[in-house]
Amino acid sequence: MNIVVCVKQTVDTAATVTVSDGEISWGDAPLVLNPWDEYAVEQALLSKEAHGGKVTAISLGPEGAKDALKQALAMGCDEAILIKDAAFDDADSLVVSKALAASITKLGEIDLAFFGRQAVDSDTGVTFAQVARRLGWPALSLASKVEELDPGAQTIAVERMLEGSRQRLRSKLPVVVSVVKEINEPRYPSFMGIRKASRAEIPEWSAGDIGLAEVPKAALSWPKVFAPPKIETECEFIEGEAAEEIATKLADRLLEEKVI
Amino acid sequence: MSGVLVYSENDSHVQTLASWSADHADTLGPVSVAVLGKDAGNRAEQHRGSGASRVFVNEAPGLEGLAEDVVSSALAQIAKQADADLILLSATRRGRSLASRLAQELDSGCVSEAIEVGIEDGRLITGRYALGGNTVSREVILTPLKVVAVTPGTVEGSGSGAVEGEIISAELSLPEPRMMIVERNPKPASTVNIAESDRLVCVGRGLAQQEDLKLIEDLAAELAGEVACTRPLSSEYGWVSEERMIGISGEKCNPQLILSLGVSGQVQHTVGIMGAKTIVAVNSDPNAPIFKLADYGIVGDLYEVVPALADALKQRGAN
Repeated sequence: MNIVVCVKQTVDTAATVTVSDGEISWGDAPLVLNPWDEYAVEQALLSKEAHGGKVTAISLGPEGAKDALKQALAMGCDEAILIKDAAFDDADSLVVSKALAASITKLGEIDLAFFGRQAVDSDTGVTFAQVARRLGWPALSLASKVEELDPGAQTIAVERMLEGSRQRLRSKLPVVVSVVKEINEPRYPSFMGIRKASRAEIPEWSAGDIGLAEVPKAALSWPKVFAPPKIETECEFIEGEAAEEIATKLADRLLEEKVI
Repeated sequence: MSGVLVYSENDSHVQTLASWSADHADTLGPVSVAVLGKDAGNRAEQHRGSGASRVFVNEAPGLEGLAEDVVSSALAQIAKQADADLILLSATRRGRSLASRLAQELDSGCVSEAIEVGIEDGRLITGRYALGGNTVSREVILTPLKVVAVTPGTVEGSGSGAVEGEIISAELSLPEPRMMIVERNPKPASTVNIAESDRLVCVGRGLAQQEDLKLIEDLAAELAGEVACTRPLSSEYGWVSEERMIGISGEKCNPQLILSLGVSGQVQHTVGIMGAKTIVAVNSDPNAPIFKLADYGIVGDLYEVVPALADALKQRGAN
């Protein structure tokens, strides 16, 4: 099977993010492989291990994003490609998805493209579906289990959870699959994997290389970024000698407020 | 703007979005609703009075499972027929994926999970969380066509814009579905919709072991409410099913009452409870951030407070 996994380099979720005058900062916290993408890499590797083939990791970003790709290589991906061009500096998901789709087309003969459910920085969760539409492929979103993958018949079936129901989706390959955490347990890179990745030369593709002669402008502007409004509440602490007394007081207050 | 097209697989979300749109028809233009799939004709009736002047209906067999690729194609065509330049969807799990695909199909800007929707100077402005709830990004879509998936509970309609909408059978040329929904069963006993529950009992890391969930379930039963949780209990420990997880990567809720038990109050979680009317926090750490947004706080051991509270509620016949 010829498998692609699309990854992004993001700020670590453990970083302390602050916003001041519209400027976002995370201090000197390191950038990492988007945590949700680790599940996508793992699923790509599991698919290859079960059915043979090759896994290529693709990212769009600056030079530094090669570190995220090296993490994917260290986990076991066979090849990595960085899409890098100043034309993508202000790219939004619509532009990024065009670039990723063009790269997948350039690679050719791809059966499966895995994505994490969303990137932890932009948190939009739209890119996978946009790439799929661009390629004219179905997108199987939020997969929590791959139930069948049959390269011979060129079919896949996944399970996903929706509000109040569980669905089984079946599709012909090629297809885009976005995955949630429940799908697997990402492996740690092996020592050999890390050594191999550290020596890897990651090719760079420009907008021209992937056939995007003109990079469209972003469809969104974000005139304002700010810290979420704080709820202005004065917490009324309920105290008492014993748990029963505290519980009784609270129950009375909630009844007064008519919320129970 | 030339008009709005509202769609969701959830009929009550459709009514809210259509009613809100009708309240802003001066700016947004006339409101249309799309009702697709099984029984669409009958379901359309309830939307005639929700503020929509036109209700587009299509019951094609290919739409039965509401697979996103076919629905996206249907909505792109209906938007054109309705002359709508704004497509409002509900940010359910399917809705977010649908919005993304539709935006690519229309080459339009997309906001996939708006927590604010407003109109300023005749422009639509949306807000959404980014960076795990640490920031709100206020955005303007620059393309002529706009796709916005609105988080349930974000907007309300007055209902005053109700009109007798005309039902139109939409002529569509649909692609052969490549993705099939081959099985669809309600979830096992745990079927729950946290986003629409009025009373929630949300438990966090303060819970020591899975067996102790019984305490939390008993309290929820006294309140006739639902058990919810923070991310570790679902994603890391697997004690509670994922659809009960509240936060940036889980559900956003708008209950009358939420009891937060042993929840520290990290922003990735608290963005999901901003819509709650009354927040009660129980935590043994008096400096836990959750107390900063709670209406009532109890500094104490949840293992003592929870059973006592369940008793107190039982005596009052709270539910």
